[in-house]
Amino acid sequence: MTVVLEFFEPPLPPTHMATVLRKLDRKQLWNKKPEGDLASWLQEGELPADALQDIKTDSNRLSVFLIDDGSPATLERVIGALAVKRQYLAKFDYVLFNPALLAELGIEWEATLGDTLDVAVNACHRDLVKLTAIKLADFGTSLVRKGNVERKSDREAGRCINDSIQAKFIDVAKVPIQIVQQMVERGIQ
Amino acid sequence: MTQQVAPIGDEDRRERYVLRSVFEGINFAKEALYPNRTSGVGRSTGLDALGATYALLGDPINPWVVNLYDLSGAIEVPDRLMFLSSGTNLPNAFVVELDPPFYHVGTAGVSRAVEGASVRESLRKTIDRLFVTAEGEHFEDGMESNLTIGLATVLRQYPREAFGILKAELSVRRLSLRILIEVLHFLGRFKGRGTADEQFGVVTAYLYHTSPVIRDAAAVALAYMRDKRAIPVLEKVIASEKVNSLREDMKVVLAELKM
Repeated sequence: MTVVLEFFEPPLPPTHMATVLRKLDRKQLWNKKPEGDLASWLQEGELPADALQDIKTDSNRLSVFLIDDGSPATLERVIGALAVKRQYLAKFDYVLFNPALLAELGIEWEATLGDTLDVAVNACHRDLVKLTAIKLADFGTSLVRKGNVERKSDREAGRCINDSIQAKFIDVAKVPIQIVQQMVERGIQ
Repeated sequence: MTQQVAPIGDEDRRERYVLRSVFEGINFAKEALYPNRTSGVGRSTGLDALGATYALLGDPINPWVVNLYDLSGAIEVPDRLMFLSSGTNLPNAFVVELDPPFYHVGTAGVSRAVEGASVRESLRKTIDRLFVTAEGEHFEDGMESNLTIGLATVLRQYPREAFGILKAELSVRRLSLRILIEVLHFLGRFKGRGTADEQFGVVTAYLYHTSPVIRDAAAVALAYMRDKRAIPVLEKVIASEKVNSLREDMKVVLAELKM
């Protein structure tokens, strides 16, 4: 169940250092400069349509995580919390962007509780709301132009999970057994 | 006789979706219409006491089995063929039933050949249906899909035959990139019986695909495999890889394989 904490969060002041994380699946579609077979028809800064599948909305909402300077939820902690929700250990692709980008595009967001195993990470969950097709396409294009697309390998994602378990941010008893097994196989624990 | 290979009492609903869609050729929405039907041994769990007993005991219910009884007097053959599920991360909790095989009365050698052909044909149809169903699926890193659950099921039960068919399908079928990515990631992490070398061969071949998205999926699959034989292959591919970001990601895979 999603719990709405507040209906509108004002844009952060420009001096405030914060970044927003959105999970992706296919990093190679999000290159600023098109390469490979895409380079023959895609302009620099354009988003290939297939990449929209990585920002698939539900009820016109898109899930992101706000990583604030003062927040206990660091990037690694957010990745650990998201990676442990999966059925097996896998690479983790994501894009980081400045929250000011949302204001530029007129995209509203709401603070809603996330559903990960880490309480602090849940608190930094946000929903981008009232998304139209045009806004979504503009958002994706802005991510390509201004965002930083990165990847944690399956092993690195496992380390993020392990760090959160060690720090007791995540209750190890709630971690899926398959994930634990895979971490052991990779020598992460 | 019927070969009962697994209990079905605690099967997962999602697994039943997969089986029903694949083996009965219907869409998932029909689950709402037939909530009690399963594709397990007895085909149905919402039956009367006799039906339920047959289902548990694996006694044949399908009409075609009756014909089989008439024909199978001299030939010792199973009256139905089933797959025991053991998906990559899933319990051995459900049974996949192949299309009813057709047996001819004849010498044992001929009947075995016919039986083998029937299994292969059923496998081919099964894998075909998995790919058809996959066209409407959304795939996500770290999450099993109907496609991967189905592939794991057939590969566990008939590793050699199913892998041969899968390999052939990959070479002739025009799969969308996202389905191909899902298959490659699956091949990277699937622990098959006696197919590891072939899985490695298939995955490394895709390092030379024209699409960087697929080359990336192949490199990720090699990372999942954690097979050190990939080291020289990756070194060679990295040297010729023109997409900068992909080259960097491949270097990370290589470094982890060397650890």
